[in-house]
Amino acid sequence: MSKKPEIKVMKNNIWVIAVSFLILIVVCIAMWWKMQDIIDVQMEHQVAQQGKALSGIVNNSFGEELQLLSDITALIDMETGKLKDILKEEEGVSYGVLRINGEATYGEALDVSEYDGIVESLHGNDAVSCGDDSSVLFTVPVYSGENVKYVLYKLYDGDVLAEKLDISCYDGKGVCAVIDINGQILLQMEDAPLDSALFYAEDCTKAYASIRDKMNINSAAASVCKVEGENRLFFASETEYSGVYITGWVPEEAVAGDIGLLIPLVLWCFGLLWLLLVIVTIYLLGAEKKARESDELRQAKQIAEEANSAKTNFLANMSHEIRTPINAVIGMNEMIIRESTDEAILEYAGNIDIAGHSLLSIINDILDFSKIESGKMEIVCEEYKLGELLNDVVTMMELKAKQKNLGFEVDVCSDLPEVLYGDDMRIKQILLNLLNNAVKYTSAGKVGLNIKGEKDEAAESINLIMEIKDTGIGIREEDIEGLFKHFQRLDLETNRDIEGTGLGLAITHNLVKMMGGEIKVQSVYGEGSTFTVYLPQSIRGKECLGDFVKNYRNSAGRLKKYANAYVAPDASVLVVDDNQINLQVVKNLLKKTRLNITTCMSGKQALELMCKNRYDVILLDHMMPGMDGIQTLKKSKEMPENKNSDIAVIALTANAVSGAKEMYLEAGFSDYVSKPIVGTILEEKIAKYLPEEKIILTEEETKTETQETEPVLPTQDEAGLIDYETGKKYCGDSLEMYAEILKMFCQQYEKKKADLERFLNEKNWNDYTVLIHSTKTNALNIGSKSLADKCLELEKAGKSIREGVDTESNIAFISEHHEDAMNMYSKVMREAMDFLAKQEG
Amino acid sequence: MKNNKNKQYLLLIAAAVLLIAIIVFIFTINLKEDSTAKVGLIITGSVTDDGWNGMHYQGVKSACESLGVELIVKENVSEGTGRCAEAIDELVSEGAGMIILSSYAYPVEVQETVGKYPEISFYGISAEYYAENMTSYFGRMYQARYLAGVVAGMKTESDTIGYVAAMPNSEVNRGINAFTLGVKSVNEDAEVVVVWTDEWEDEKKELEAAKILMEEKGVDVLTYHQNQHYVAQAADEAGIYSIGYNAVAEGLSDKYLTAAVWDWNALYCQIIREYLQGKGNTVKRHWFGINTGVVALSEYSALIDEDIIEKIEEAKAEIGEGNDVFSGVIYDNTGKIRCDEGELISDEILLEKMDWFVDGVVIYE
Repeated sequence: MSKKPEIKVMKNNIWVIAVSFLILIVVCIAMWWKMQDIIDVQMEHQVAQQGKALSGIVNNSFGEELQLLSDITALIDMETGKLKDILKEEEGVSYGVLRINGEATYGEALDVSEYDGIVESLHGNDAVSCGDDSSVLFTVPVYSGENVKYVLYKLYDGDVLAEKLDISCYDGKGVCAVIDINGQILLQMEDAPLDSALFYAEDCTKAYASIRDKMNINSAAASVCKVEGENRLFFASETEYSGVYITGWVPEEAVAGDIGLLIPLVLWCFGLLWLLLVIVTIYLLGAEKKARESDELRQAKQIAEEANSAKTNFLANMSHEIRTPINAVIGMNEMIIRESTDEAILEYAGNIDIAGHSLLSIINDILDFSKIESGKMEIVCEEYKLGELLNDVVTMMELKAKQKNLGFEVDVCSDLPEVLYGDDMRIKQILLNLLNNAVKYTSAGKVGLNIKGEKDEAAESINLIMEIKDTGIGIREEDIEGLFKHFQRLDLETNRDIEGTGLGLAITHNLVKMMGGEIKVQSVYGEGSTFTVYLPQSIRGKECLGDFVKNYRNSAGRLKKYANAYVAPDASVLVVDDNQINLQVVKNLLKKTRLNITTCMSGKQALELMCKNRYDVILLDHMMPGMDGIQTLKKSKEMPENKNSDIAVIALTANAVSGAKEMYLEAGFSDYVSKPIVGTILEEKIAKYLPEEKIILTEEETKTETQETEPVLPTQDEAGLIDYETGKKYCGDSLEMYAEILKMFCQQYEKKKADLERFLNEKNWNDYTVLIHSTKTNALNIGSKSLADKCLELEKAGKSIREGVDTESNIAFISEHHEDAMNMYSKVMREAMDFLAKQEG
Repeated sequence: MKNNKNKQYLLLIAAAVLLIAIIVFIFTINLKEDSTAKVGLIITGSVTDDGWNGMHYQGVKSACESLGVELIVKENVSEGTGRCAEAIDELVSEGAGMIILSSYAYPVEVQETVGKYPEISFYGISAEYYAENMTSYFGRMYQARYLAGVVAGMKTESDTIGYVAAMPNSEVNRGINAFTLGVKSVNEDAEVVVVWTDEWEDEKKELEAAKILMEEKGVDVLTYHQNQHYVAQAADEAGIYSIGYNAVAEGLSDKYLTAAVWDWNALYCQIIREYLQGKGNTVKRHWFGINTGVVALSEYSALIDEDIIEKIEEAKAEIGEGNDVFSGVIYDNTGKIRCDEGELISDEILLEKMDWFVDGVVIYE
């Protein structure tokens, strides 16, 4: 996509516009010209018709004169002039009788060559002819038998006849006159005289030439001509009498009337058309460009989206992968916290716990966010108790606020319904996110949580109003708009020490939106912020929350205590996990409860056990090789010989993403516990499903138990090859666990030793190296540094052989030192046995 | 790129075509005008002959051309055969709005057909039949004949002048009478001997008639009223004077003194114009005098002296002043007075009732 073709396209478009513009202009001009022409022709036609009408008047008038004259001939004696009195002489009118030789028997003799009508009448025809001095002569023949003997004439002075004729052209708007063939004016109309000089004006001669031309085939014609600054239509028309014409002119306005308006009207339409063309062209060009751009944009967007989705997927996968080890870290750390008494170690472990959890929350955020991004985030609604939800939140946040020396004020409206329908997990997440932020960004003062609600009329749903107030740094007004955008963190300079991904608010915002609610922010920079979340929820049941602090906070404390203080020595629990350490963690966490714990490492084994024994609770890991937790549960329900089909099965999962709970419940689990497993939660959950009669509440017992487990360890000197203190530390400072591990160490000794010797004899360096590595790790775990060192040397040699480096010397080294190491191995084993015997004793 | 360029050219061509189309369209929207008028002409001979028929054809043709009218000609339509009526039917079906009948007998012959087409404008060369849609047109050839008679009267030595004529009718008789009056006006003793051929065009009969006049009657000036110039040629061969008719005969000696000629062009222009102007048939007849140029004497031969020319001019002036050929005292050849002193024979009689001959005409039986 270079720019050149685009320019080319532009050029083409300009071409098109230019050409169409040109065409339109030319067409417009042609049209204007043609229209002018048409109108002119029409007007000329009209005026010519007027000329014809005028001719008609003249014809009639002259015809009457001739008729009158003809009638008179019968009455008069031509020779004697008898009865000549009939012929009334008037001013400007004269009569006469001529012989064929031109002599006058009465009246004046006339020049035959001047009036050709005389000859015409001598041939027996009536005639009108014009004299040189604007006189008009009417002549009629007088017969003697069949032959013409005289001509009777009537000679008019032009003015007198004109007065008699009295014609007007276009209601007096025009000018006309009767002329002879030479253009001499015979009859001049008094009202509107025709200026004969006009005939000789340059433009007029052109007009008259055109008229003459047209009159070749027409009896009347007209032509437009500009004279004295106005357009005039000159016309001429023949009369019946040869040599007598009528001519004149009419101003164009008088003829055209409103016809002239047609031209601007049409031109205006043309202009509009052109404008329309331009607009349409521009629009089309724009559309085309837009289409082109949007194509490019789409492509770019697709690429960006692909890249983004790849990134999101990568992040999601990474997060998931990171979670498993983190869970292990946190779980182990929890054990350290529980079992260590060392102040310093407790502090370190506490820090690990904080860091681990914040890392976990970051990873959870990323996972959530990736879900929102990919549209996989779902809101799962179920009935929940508002009070419990709030209690959980408050419990968590109270502690955090206290740690920062902040006040934490909770105000829950008492008439809120107790049971609601919605996604409690997500609501919790929203509240925790907002409260976490409030605590995070508040260095002094207090954080407030205010829950209210607006019920609708039918009390079927409620709009929860959750207000989170803080006295923190606040948000600048200009930043509020971008607040809910991804990765938005404000005031990076000043808040550098505050951790977070910046995803929290984006996730919160999205969740609120998905639930059909909205979130509002009010903030004064430097004084604090108030986040208000409006969430519509359906109401279930009619009970009210009542006094939140009284009903929940206090009972919560009681529950917690209860959870922490129970033993159930009669209850049995099956724990299924493919990971030995996880099993160890669970066993240890539950040690205090004195539950009978059976472990197994695969779904298959679990099923076998379930058929054999009856348990009170089963903890089933989800992710296992072969048959996973869900499949195992499903199978177990299908098996008729299963003795535990009605027993609660709790899922253990590192896959604690949103919707996990629903997924597990749907799969048939009673509950789930997410990894890293928190001891109290695990205890709590198990207690929930244990038969009540098997639970014995005893705070003191726990205490004594704890005291009992206080370790009394022999010193290094006593122990010789084993450093018990170190070994115990590796085991989360738990003597029991350490003892377990020592026991395991001893149990494995015979088999491992035999295997090692076998691999050595078979020269199976690969398996030998693996096994010696494992032995080394075990030795380290129990605190036997010297054995571990010996193993390490052998491992190194084995690795070298495996890689083909100095094979001979290394084989020699192993042969030489193997026996040595085995001796130490047996010594360490014996010591461990002694130690265990001592412990049990 | 190439494709683009081609596209551009296509666009350009399309635009040009559009432009031309629009302009052509605009300019072809002509105002409602009468479609070209068509004029039909019927002649007895061929359009190519150099006599009467050729002259009419040329006259009508040039008039039509100058007025932008289409001309349809029907040739070789003999009189008295019924062919003329057929020709009229054909012309009407071909769209002619005006039909010119250029031979003397046509109008009377086709009276019925003319009545059949009241919307067609007919113009006939003889004045013996009129109708609402039939106007006669002719020139006052008699005036030229009179002047020719003056020439003949002054040139004759035997005082016997020969006149070969087609047949007796108002037109031919008028010509003979005017010619004779011209002769008599300068030569009281001379007489004009007329031989009929009974045909407008018949070489054999015309030559025969000329021979009779020259050999039997001893005429020394010959004139004629025929479509062709056979008589003039015969006279020239015989070495006697002759005066032509219609047009100037080519290739003759000075003994061919002059001719009474027509200028049909001017005449036809006028009547076709009249038709086009919508004034067709508004008058009964058109009779164009010598002053209009429709009729005249052709260029004089070297044998015509100044005194003859003077005499001709005198006579011409007199005619122009209204003292026309048929005025004053006129007796016919039976001694009956036809026009008295101070009288003038009206056109009506000249055109329709000239069935007599003036004193001095001798008809060869």
